[in-house]
Amino acid sequence: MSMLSIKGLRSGYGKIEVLHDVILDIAQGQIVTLIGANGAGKTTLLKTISGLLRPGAGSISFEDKSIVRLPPHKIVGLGISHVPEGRAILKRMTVIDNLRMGAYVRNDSKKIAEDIEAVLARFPVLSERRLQIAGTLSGGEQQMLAIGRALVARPRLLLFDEPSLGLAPKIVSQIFLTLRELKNEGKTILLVEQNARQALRVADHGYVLERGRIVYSGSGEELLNMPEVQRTYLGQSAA
Amino acid sequence: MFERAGAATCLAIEALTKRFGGFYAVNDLQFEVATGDIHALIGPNGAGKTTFFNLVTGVLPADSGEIRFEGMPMNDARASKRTLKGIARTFQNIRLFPHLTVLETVMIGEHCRLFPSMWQSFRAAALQLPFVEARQERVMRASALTLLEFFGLADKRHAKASDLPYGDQRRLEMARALATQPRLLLLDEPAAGMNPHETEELDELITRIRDRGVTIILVEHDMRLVMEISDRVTVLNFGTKIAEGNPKEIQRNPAVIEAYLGEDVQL
Repeated sequence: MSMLSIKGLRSGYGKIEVLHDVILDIAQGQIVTLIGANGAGKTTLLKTISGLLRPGAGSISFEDKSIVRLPPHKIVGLGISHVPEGRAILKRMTVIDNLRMGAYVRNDSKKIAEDIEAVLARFPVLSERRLQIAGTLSGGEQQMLAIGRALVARPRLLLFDEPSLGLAPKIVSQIFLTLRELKNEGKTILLVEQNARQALRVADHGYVLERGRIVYSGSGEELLNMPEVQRTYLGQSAA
Repeated sequence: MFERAGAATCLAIEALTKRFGGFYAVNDLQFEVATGDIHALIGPNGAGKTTFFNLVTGVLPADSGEIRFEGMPMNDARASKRTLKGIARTFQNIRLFPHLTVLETVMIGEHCRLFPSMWQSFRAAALQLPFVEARQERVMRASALTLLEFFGLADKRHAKASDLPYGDQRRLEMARALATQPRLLLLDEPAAGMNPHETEELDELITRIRDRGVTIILVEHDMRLVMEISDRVTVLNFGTKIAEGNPKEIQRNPAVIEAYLGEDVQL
């Protein structure tokens, strides 16, 4: 069953088209990994799904509803949250206020408080720092905050843009563990990563984007074993 | 192959300390970098690695301790002076001049050698005949181009720096740093945002820079890259050194696994 279905998608910035005719499907409950070189259009695709960019053509449907013309906050309200590249936390606000901002589109304050507590239980280090200014958190803590903020919106589909960027190996492992946990809790995930090997290992399905087009797709394992993918994205030490 | 120059010390750090308020970003740090080495500096986010770079390059003043480069004390030298002495760096978050072309970007790096002081640039502008200036410009252009060839960016020399793909921007930052003719190059997370294939190309590039006679300090989270090319690895946590050794020793060190690598690290 397809949760998100993208067909014939064209998108970009002003007159510059970055995505040409992208087709992509995400099944309910899966981790789908999208890999590709810098400049291939991965971030553009995530921004187009979450409504930050308007596509030039094509369709995006989420749970069989078209979301193409909807503004970002409506898309969050439908159940899609974006954890952006570089985390984009609100640096001058406290940890707890960042989490509250994640619930901006909701108005069930009792349940919001429960969901914030659930995030703090999931990431105890954030609980210890709930009144700390978010800009003073370490990189790994900021990434946890960005994930927590997305979760407070109660998404069914999460878009992750390079969650491992600039993080220490131990923290990267924790982030990937969190992705697996979220999947086990029934969330659906679209993951964009440069850390292609680890990202394909956790993936049920993967897509390779090259110059704005999907050029390969398959199970995570199939892509890990595909010579073209190994050569271009995994490096020679691909085991 | 570049010959390792015995026990010569490129950079010596003694009891270096930097506080931000009550927080010790670098705390009584002590270590040496041997000339001709690729010396990696690793540690958790917030361990003080970038602060250390800022102290060595003079972006931030140290609270106490000593920084000696090739035997010369650097503590009181301004950042520009340290560049002239032979220390260059790249940045974790790429800092290019977005509107300059690739060639101009590298020429900016060269500029400090040709006109090392305000006075000299002034004299050049005021006194020198136009054709002398034109000749200098030609020399700069030619050597900038040679550097761009080294980095595989020569055919993009007229592109705007901001229009380059990310991996090329990282390489251009290195080219600009090398244009200052450093003997010590500090690389701050050169592989961040690169896929494993691009990172493998970095192995070769960084080794080739070292083989030109440049000592390298490498801050990096990509452990495959670090373990592959480093001669020596120093591990920081909370601003202090918790371990030092060759890559093999570091990978087995329990304190490093606990603080940084984690149990299930896949190299």
